[in-house]
Amino acid sequence: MANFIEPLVVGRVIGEVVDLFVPKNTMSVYYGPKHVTNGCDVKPSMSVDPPNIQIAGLRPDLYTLVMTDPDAPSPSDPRMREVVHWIVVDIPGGADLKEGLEVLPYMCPRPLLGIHRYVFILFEQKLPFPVVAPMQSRANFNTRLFAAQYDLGPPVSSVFFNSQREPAYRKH
Amino acid sequence: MMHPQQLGSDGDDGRPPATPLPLARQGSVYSLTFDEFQSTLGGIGKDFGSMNMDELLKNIWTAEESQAMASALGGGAAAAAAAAAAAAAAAGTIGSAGAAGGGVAGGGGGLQRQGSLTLPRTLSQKTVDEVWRDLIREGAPGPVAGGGGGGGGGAGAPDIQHQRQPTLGEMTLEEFLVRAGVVREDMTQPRTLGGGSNNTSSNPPNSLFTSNNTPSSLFYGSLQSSNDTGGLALGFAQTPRSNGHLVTHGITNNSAANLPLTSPGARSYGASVPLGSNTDLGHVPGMRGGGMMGIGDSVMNNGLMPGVVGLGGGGVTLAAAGSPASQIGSDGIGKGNGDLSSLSPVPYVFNGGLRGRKCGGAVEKVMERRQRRMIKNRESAARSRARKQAYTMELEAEVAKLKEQNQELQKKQAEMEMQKNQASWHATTSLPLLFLQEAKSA
Repeated sequence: MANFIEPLVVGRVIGEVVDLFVPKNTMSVYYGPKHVTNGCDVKPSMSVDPPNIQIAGLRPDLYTLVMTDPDAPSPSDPRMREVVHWIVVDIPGGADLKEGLEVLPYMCPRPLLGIHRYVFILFEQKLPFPVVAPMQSRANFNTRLFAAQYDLGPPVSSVFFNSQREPAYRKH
Repeated sequence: MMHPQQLGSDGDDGRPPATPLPLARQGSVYSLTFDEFQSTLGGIGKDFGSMNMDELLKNIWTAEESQAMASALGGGAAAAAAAAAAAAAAAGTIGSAGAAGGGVAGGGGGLQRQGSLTLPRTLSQKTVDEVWRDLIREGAPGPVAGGGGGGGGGAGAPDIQHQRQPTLGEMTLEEFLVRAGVVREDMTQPRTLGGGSNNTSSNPPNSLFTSNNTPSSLFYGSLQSSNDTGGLALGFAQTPRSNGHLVTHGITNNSAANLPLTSPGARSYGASVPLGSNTDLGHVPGMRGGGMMGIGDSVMNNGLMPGVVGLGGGGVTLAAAGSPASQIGSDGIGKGNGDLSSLSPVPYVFNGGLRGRKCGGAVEKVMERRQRRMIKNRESAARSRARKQAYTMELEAEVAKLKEQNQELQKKQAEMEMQKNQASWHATTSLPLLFLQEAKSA
């Protein structure tokens, strides 16, 4: 579950994407009926549409969600690390992600080479999110830097899944 | 398994070291001409002329590393020969001290120092041919700064190096680099590659030591990208018992060593890929350069993989050196394993030394490729294990949580049932009472 961080350490999400943190909140991520738990596999075909995410917590608090792929273009040569897939800000505590503001539209996982990790990271905002300049590129995103830039503090929750190109999967 | 001491003393007793020249010549990659260097690196398909300066330097470094490694191994062997097993760890420092004493005579030669070369920005993208043309245009080449590859000694080798040749192929790398304006950064310790004056038979340990230039800094220098790689010297220092099998053959200066390399800093969990590798580097007189080295520069394993391929030089037989190499494995690797992090250690074993001797560039290339592939495979295996483990942990946590919930629910259910039972007991017991009371009062 989201408040159990060992899988994040072993899966090297902590270390390669974020620093060690103490989970203070939880979120549940569903791709359709599939509950996303740390280290589970989600096929690209299942993750075409954005997942439903429910965040615990209380209303007045605001949260930012980042989804990123630290294994692009391939886990053995992650020279594009990280590729950011989704950024949603100003999500009220205890609410559905849809109540937040999508800063960067969802881009579905397309792992062409190797098995990629896709990581959801939740930050608590201290203030409503400022107006964000549109991003130049999704590649070489840095979650830590992003958090520092917008004064987000350490993550409060994180979940990741693995995804691999499906045999019949074709590039669109 | 043979012990380093035994092997070392074998070499010591049996064969007095000789032939200073080869070492002096080998001493520096920079003293090779382009043609020689090209043949040394037979595996590289590209012609130097079309390389840009960056690439050229990379190639030189690669060769230099492998050479330094080979000489480091030689130094280690010598330490063992001196029956100072513990001192093996210190071989690097001793070696550099010797170098400082003997070789610095070479003096102004910044090139002699083992450091990193920096390229002026404008230069790094130029091809070698372009730089060469510029040099020619500049007209009469001035005197070359810096000593020859052999430092002070080296029996005539420096003379050869100092002659300027009209074609690029015959120019030494050193001369080329100096004239091209490549700056050599000094490292903290002054060192000389193959300080020639010490390479005399009268001074056997020194001659080996001097060619041993504190490999740790070499490796750090060249592998900045991989965080936790301990260089060879570190391997010696930190896991003395796993540094097994060194052989010196004084006469031929062949040194063969099986050196398990562990990456000491592997601080990670399951995914750490500690690396034990067996190198078998040989130096043969008449053969220049050591071998090729593949560097696993990946995120996961911080690995250094010496893909060791000796280069076929003069008809020297290497059977003797080959045999210890065949004893790769059990001992060194096993011990290496013991030291590694508890979670899924992956020892790397390479038998490269066995085969690599035979041959030319093609084999070398294939070997290198194969070893790269092996590294990659191991990394991805490690990743896969980590993934599995992460998922297992997650599931275990979930199981624990569900169990707890289940227990709680069962407790609640039991309580509720008890309450219900009590209620119904009251109902059943109180009814007749009521009846009785009613009957009495009636």
